[in-house]
This record gives sequence, structure tokens and C-alpha cells, in this order.
Amino acid sequence: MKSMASELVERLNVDTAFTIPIFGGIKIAESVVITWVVMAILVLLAIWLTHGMTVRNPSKKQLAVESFVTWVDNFTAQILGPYGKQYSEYLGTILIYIGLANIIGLLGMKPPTKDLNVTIALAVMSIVLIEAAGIRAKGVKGWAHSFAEPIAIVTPINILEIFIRPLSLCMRLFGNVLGSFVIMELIEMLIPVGVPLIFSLYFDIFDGFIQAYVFVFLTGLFIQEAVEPAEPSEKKEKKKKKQKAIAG
Amino acid sequence: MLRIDINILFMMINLLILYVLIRKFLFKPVHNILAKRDEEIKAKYADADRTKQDAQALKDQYENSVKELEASREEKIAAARKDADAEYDRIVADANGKSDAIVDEARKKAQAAADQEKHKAEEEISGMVKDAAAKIAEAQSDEKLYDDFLKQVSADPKQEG
Repeated sequence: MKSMASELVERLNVDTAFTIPIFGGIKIAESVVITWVVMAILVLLAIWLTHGMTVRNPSKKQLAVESFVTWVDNFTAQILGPYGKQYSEYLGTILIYIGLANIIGLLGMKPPTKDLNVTIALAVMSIVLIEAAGIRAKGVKGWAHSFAEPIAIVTPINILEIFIRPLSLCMRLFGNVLGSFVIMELIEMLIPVGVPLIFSLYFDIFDGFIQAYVFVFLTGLFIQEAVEPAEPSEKKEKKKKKQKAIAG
Repeated sequence: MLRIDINILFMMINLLILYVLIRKFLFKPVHNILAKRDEEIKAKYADADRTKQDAQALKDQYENSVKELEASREEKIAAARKDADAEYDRIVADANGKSDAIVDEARKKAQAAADQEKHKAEEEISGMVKDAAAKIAEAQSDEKLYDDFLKQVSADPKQEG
């Protein structure tokens, strides 16, 4: 039992893959190296899938990649709304990266999203993108003012959200993947044959994709919220209603 | 177990590189192809519309020409009918005239023949009357002769028995 626990802890550790011997040694984490593998797989797959595409008489391979890209586009565009369309490709990239990273445990590697560094990086990039999108859409003034929407009293909460949102994004992804990883490791230690396969369907594949979906969904939602033009304030709305009532 | 260090930065760089690569190798080509196909389909639709319009124009033109032809045909037929009627009338009038003349001539000839016949008959009749008159005259002499004979017979009875 003790050996099992120590083995589990060892598996949970984020190992250092190698050390670059400069600045007193930069330790490159295992997750970064696995991310390279994921990147290589994705890029090679993309090159292979998009190779020799034709406008007419597309092959089955091309139809598959077309329908996949169309699905990703529709999914991201639906969340982002009409004003955030230009961030669709970034969200698509994140979606397929987290998707593959979460299920790479099937290939015997540790999922990189099990490493807090990876989820922090993803979350920080998300919040930077969200705020940058807000500034781009509304200008610095409009972006700053958006913290006081809908009423001034929520301003501190809105400012806190800059930190809460990425934290929740990062911790949700990390916790879910780590949790499934621990359970899968335990099951594999107990019954190494057959049973892990069934549980892997849920913990690796289903949960992996769900977490990728949730991460992208929330990031997209926040971007959409940030780029959405400010609604007319309540006073104006009331005025309009009054005018309508008079006119009616 | 938890480890937060410089690898966050590496991960960010990784993700940015992945974003650029995926955009270049997956989204861009697929979007290009989809846009091209879209364009082609639109062009085809436009082409089809144009072809349809052309066909409609040709059809209209054809129908118009058919109508024109029909009209001119009717006109020609009417004119021809008129001509034919005139010709018919003329021919009939001509024939009527000719037949009247023929009938007149025939009547005249018949009249002349009848007159001739009449004349002949009159002549014959007058001849016959003359003959009859002569015969009557002759018969009167016979009667006298017969009477004379009778007178002779009665005057000579021996000869009778």
C-alpha cells in the first residue's frame, strides 16, 4: 500500500524532462515536451489533412477536415457573437490543443494539462485576450468604463473578476484533468487489464473533451461579453419607453 | 507536486507558435477552399441565371417571330383568298356570259331550224292540199264516171244476168 502511494505521488509529479545549462540551468518540464509532441501531432495532421485539397470533388479526408473546421468555426462563432469573430481561430486552436492534450494519456503520456504551468499559461493568455479584445472593441476609456456596468457599485467585483476568471479557468481544467489522472492511475494499479479501458472512456475521452469544451466556451463567452457594445443605460431606456408609450 | 515556474512562459510561447502554425496549416487552407467553393457556387448560380435569362430572351424572340410569321401567314392567306374569290367571281361571270351566249345562239339556231321546219311543213302541207284538191277533183270525175256507168248498166239489164 505504501509503495502504491509513493508510486502514485511519483506519477503525479511533474518531472523535468531536461535542463538547459544556462542561467544556472533552466528546467524544462515534461509537460512542455509533451506539448511539443501534441503540437507536432496537430501540425503534421493539419498538413496531411489539408494537403492536396481541391475545390471540386473533395476526397473523404478533405470532407472530414472541412466539416471539422466548419464545426469549430460554428461553435466558436456562436459563442463569440458577431463582434468577436476574429478570435474564432485562436479559440479553435485552444480547443483542439486542450482536446488532444487531455486525451494524450491514451498514448501513455502524462497529459500536459495535469501540470499547473500549462493551465496557468492557458488561463493567463485567455484573460489577456479577453481584456485586449475589450480594449480593442471599446477603446481604453470604454473598456475602463465597462467595469462600472451596469451600476457603479459592482466595480470592485468586476475588477476582481480579472483575477477570478483566469484562476477559475486554470483551476477547473487542472483539477479535472488531475483528478481523472489520479483515478485512472489508481484503477490501473489495482486492475491493470480491461477495466481501465472502460473507465478511460469516461475519464480520459469524455471528461477530456468536456474540459476542452468548457475552457473554450467560457473564454469565448468572456470575450463576447467584453467586445459587446455597451447597452444603452437604464435612464435612456426609460426615456425611450416613455416616448414609445406617448407615440403609441 | 505543484510546480509553478518559468515553464509558464514556455507554454505561452508554445501556444502562440501552435496558434500561428494551426492557423497557417489548418484554418487558412480550409477557409480558402471553402471560400473558393462558395465563390464558384455563386458564380455558377449567376451563370445559370444568366443562361436562363438568355434562354428566356431567345424564347421570347422565337415566340415573337412565330407570332409575326403567323400574322403574315394569315395576311397572305387572306390576300390569296381574296384573289381567289375575285378570280372565281371573274371566272364564273365569264362562264356565265359565255354560257348565255351559247344558249342564245343555240336558241337562235333552234328557232331557225324550227322556222325552216315549219316552212317545210307548210310547203308540204300546201303540196298535200294541192294533191288532195286534185284528187278530190279527180274523185268528182270518177263519181261521174261511176254514175255514168250505173246509168249505162241500168239501161242494159241483159248484160247483168
